[in-house]
Amino acid sequence: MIIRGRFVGDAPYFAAHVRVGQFEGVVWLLADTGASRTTLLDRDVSRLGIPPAALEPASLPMIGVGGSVRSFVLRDVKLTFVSDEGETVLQQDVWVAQHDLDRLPAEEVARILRIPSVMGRDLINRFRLICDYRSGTMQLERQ
Amino acid sequence: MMNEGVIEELRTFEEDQVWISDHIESLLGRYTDQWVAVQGGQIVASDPALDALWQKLPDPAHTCVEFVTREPLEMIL
Repeated sequence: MIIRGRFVGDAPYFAAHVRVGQFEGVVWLLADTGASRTTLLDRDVSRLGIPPAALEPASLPMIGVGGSVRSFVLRDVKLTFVSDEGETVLQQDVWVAQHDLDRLPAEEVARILRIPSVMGRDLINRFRLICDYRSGTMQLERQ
Repeated sequence: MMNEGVIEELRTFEEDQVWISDHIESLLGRYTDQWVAVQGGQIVASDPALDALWQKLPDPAHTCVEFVTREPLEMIL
């Protein structure tokens, strides 16, 4: 089974349909082997209409190069990808990173909102990952 | 059972993401520093403020949305 991603510029992405409780929609996930958890960022959380009340605070802190952010967990999220078999459905927890946008200057908020959601190792490592920018090949495989 | 609707939606969403990247120069001429919403390779809404853009969209959760800007941004996630 093969899930094919796409390069946009030099960055590898996968399109995924997410469903959690009453919320569902499509997201563009940056494949990020540096991220331990698949994580939705501010723009997508807002776009999907997931309210703060639906977010369960994570038991572990989340930190990146830019510092720490508020972290939450969405339990048992159904993630659907297009594959060569039609569709592939995974179910797993997905993390949510929330910046405190109300306390930041507008230009910084705009930059933060540009950050894509990421596909982390918790998902990537369920597959064999092929990332070959020079040939334009980006895919997740498993037998 | 296969969900053809979801598969088609994912393919369209992916094409829209790539479309923005492929057309970024022409988009910069008209939508600099604005959020744009794209469906089926067409701009369906734009606004400098993301919250305002949501109000213009009937279904943001199923719409490709990106920021059009000349500001370079290096990302180390």
